[in-house]
Amino acid sequence: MNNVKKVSPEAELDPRSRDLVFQMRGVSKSFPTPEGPLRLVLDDVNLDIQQGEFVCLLGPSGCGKTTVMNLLARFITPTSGTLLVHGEPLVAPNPKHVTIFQEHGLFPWRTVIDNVAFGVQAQGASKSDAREKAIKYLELVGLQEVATLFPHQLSGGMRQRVAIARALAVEPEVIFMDEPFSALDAFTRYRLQDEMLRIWQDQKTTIIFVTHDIDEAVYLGQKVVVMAPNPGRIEMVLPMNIARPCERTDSQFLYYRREIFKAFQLVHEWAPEYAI
Amino acid sequence: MWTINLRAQLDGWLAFLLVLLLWTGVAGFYTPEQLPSPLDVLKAFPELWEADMLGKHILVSMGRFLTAYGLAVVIGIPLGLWMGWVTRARQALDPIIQFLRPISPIAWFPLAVLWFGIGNAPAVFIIFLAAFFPVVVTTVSAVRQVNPLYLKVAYDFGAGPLMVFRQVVLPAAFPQMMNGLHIAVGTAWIHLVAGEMLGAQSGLGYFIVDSRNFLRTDWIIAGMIMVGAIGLIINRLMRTAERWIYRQWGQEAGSHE
Ligand SMILES: Nc1ncnc2c1ncn2[C@@H]1O[C@H](COP(=O)(O)OP(=O)(O)O)[C@@H](O)[C@H]1O
Ligand SMILES: [Mg+2]
Repeated sequence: MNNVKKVSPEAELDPRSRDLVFQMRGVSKSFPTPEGPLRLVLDDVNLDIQQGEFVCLLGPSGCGKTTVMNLLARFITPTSGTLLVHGEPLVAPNPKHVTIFQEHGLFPWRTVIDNVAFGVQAQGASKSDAREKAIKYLELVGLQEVATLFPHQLSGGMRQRVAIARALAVEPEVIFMDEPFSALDAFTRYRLQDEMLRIWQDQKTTIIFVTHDIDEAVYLGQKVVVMAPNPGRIEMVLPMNIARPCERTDSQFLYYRREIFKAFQLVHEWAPEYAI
Repeated sequence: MWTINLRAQLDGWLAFLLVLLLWTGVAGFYTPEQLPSPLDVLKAFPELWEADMLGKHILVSMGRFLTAYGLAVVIGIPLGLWMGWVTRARQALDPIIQFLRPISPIAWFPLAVLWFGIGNAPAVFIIFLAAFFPVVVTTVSAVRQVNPLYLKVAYDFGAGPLMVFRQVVLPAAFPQMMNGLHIAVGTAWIHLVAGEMLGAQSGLGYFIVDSRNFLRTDWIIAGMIMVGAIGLIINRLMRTAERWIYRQWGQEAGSHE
C-alpha cells in the first residue's frame, strides 16, 4: 500500500495541502447490498480540515456521517476520489488518530486508571509511564477520585469522560467522536459539551465530531458540515463565528442555529421524510 | 428478602424430611439387603470410617478427578483459544470436535482398557473426555463472542496482535470460559463414578460396586451419598468463583447454576 503514489492533480494544485490534516476531493463510497448491486452511500464529498479545527458533521441518521469519519480514520477506503492526510494519499491508520465511540468501549475488567493507560501502553510505553499519563489525563477530566473503580461502578457520563481521558492520554493529533454523547441525559450532555470545549482549547487537538443534534453542532463546531441523505452528501459547510464557550441563549448562537434549521428546511423540499 | 430466603430454605428442608420419612416407611416392607432405612445408612458411616474403607476411596477418586480435570483444562483451554481466534484452525478442527462430542465417554471404555490396561488410566481417560469437550466448546464460543468494539478500540490505539490477544481477548472471554469450566466440573464428576465402576480397583465407583458383592446395600447408598455431597461441594465452589468473576467484570451472573 505504502509505495503506491497516487496524487490527484487537484491536490497538487493546492499549495496549502500540507497544512491541512485532511483533504477530501470528489470522494464517493459505495457498499454492496444484500441483493447484490452497489449502493452509493456518499456522493462527491469535498472537505478540508485544518490542524486544530473542531469540525462537526451534522445530519439525520443514515446520511453517511459515520462513513465520512471511517474514511478519515482510514478504517475504509474511498470507492473513488482522493483523500489526503497531510497531503499524502493512501496512508494506513495512524495510532495518533483515535476514535471515541458512542458506546465508549471501556474494558470492564480493567480499572478506570488501567483503561486510560491501555492506549499509552499499546503505543509502547511501560506500565508505570502509562499510569503516570493516565493520572494526568484523569485529572484533566476531573476523575482522579475514581481511578481505582471499575467502569460498571460509574455513571454513563463518567464512563464517557474516562473514554475521553483514554483518548487524550495518547496525546493524539486527531480525535474522532461518533455521537459520543447521544446516549446521555441532557444535563450530562451539556456538561460534557463544555468539558470538550475546554479540553479542545487546552490541547489544541483536531476534533471531528459526529452528531445529529443541531444545538450540539452549533455549540461545539468551529465549522459545521451539514449533510443530507440519499445519497449521502455534504449540503453546505458553515463556519461559525462565535467566541467559545458561548451561551446557548446568545443571539449569535441562535442566529447560526436558525441558519442550520433553514439549511435543513431546504433539504425538506427534496426529501420530506427527513423532517426534523 | 431475608424472610423469602428463610421460607425457601425451610421448604427445602421440609421436602427433604418428607423424602426421608417416605424412604423409612417404604424400607419397612423390605429387608435391609433390598432397601435399608435412612437410619441404617447413617449407621454405616462411622463403621466405614473406622475401617478406613470410605476415606481412602474418596482420596483416590479426588486424585483421579483432579488429574483428569486438570489435563482437560490444560489441553482444552489452549486448543479452544486457538480455535476461537484462528479461523482456519476452527474450520479444520471443529468438524472433528462436533463428531466426537456426542459419543458418550463411557463408550470409550473398551478402547481405553485396550490402550491403557486396567487401573487408573481408563478412569482418568473417561473423566478427561467428559470435561474436555465442554471446556473446548465453551472456550471457542467465549472467544468468538468477545465484543468486537473492544477489538476495534484496541486496534485503534495501535495495539499489536499479541497485546490484543493477551490483554483484550483473554480477559474479555474469561467469564464465559469460567462458565465452561463450571459445566465441565459437573460432567466430569458424573463420569468419575462410571469410569471407576468399569475398570478400577479403588475409588468411590469401585467401592459402590464392591459393596454390592458383599450385599451391603447400606454401604452402596452411603457411597452414593458421598458422591452427591462431594459433587455438590465442588459445584458450589465453582459457582462462588464464577460469581466473583462476573461481579469483578461488572456483568450479570451466568445463567448456569
Ligand atoms: N459497512 C457497510 N456496509 C453496507 N452499508 C453500510 C455500511 N456502513 C454504512 N452503510 C450504509 O450507509 C449509509 C450511511 O451510514 P452511516 O455512515 O452509518 O450514517 P450515519 O452515521 O449518518 O447515521 C446507511 O444507509 C448504512 O446502512
Ligand atoms: Mg453513525
